[in-house]
Amino acid sequence: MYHNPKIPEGINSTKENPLKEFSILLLGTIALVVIVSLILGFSGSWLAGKIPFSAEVKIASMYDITQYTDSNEHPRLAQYLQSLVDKISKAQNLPEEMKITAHYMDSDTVNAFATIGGNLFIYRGLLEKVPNENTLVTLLGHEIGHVKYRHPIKSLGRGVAVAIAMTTITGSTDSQIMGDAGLLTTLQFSREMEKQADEEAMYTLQSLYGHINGGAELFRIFQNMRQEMETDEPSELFSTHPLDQHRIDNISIMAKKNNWKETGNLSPLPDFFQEEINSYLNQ
Amino acid sequence: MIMEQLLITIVLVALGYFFGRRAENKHIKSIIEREAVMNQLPAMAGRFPPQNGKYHQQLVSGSVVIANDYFKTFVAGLRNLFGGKITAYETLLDRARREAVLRMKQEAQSLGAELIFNVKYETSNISGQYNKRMPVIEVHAYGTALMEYSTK
Amino acid sequence: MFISNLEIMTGKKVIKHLGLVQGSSVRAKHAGKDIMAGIKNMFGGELKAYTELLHESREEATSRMIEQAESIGANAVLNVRYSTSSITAGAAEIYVYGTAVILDNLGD
Repeated sequence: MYHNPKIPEGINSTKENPLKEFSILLLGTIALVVIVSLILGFSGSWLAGKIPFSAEVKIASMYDITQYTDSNEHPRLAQYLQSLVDKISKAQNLPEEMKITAHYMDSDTVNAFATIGGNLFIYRGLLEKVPNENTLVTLLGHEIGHVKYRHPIKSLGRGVAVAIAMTTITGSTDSQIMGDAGLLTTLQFSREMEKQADEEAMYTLQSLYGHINGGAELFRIFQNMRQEMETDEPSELFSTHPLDQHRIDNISIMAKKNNWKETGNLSPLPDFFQEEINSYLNQ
Repeated sequence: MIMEQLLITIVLVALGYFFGRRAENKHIKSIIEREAVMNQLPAMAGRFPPQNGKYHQQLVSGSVVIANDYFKTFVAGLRNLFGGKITAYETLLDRARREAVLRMKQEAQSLGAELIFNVKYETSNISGQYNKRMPVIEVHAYGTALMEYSTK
Repeated sequence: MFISNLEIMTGKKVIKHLGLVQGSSVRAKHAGKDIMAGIKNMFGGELKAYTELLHESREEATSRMIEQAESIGANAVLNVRYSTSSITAGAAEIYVYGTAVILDNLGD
């Protein structure tokens, strides 16, 4: 009257290799993360571009960017950089309220970057390698070009949007969304942005000196540096900067297109320039 | 840092998959074997014992605490993003319930029972302090064992 | 003492219903066990230490319920139910309750 007959297996469980579900889910998750970060990245950067420059300056002041600068210890050099920056700002027809500030960094790093609020940071390591004023103007023109097209705030907007999305998806709370460490390191510009800034730099060079000689030198510095470090140049696919050689070639193409002169007299750097950047050796 | 974490996760997921799957297959095989024997002692969900005999009654129970392997936890975590059926947990819960009933029947058998009535299940998550995200599940099955007077 | 989760006792009559009796037991797993369980968690499988712990806890709860029933003169508890709740991380409460009754002719 009472029996427990055998019930066939597999009714309450799915008879499918769990690895199949695993791979589908993993691919789905990766696709979701990529799509969400692309969409949010685009909209974040688009929205950030709508922020007026005055508001950007306010955001920048929250981070107390000036604490990183060594301009005060090198007033002559800082003044010289600032005068160049002001000249370039005029040449690039920057809007009235877009005030660019140059900051000198007494460090070996071979780098320079633009960040929000129109702040430029130029490292001693890079200045040591700059042979003449024309090349320095190219460098500053490039960074000011970034500011002109609002690249730093757009990049920050994209970063914040993606960080918020990732925190929501993964549920982790340890990521710093707007920490100031992130502000100085994670501002990455897309290749289009770099190209836009390069073009702006060349335009500046042409309008200030009447020729673009010395411009390509800047990219040769980077090229040599990378070769010295013996790290292979990353393939263009993974790098946001266009390949150095590619940028040098691009300059020639631009020059031909716009009938710019590729030769001309190079302006020397002021006498105190070497003295100032070597001053750390005496300390 | 991120790469290291990723690597550790991949290794844990792989280990979880291989060891977890092996342990699961072994467990299912053993459950099927023991069920074939234990089915001679029928367990019912009904509340009313047969009226034709006089029985001794005693509460019997069986329980098992079972842990999820890392692979399953990982898959379930991914599944949480999309929603839907978490197939990875199906076998886990199925195994736990059947194991608990088997243990209950074993206790009843040692008492010389003929039937078990009013079987109830309890399932609870008892994940601890140090591993909140790793489910630890307890299944407790209990019922009333009926023993005929003559056998006593 | 007769414990059953049925509502009746076959062949016997309930003379008197004495209401609810209950027993409970809260136990925490110690950290060592928890960490061991964490390791086991990687690979899946039964956590025997926990199974034992909860089994002991349930026995204690049941014996407390029996003590309550005896104290009010009952000789059986019917319609017994268990419930388990995880009140904080790392501690589980086992609760058992039923109706205490007095049955006739328990002697035979």
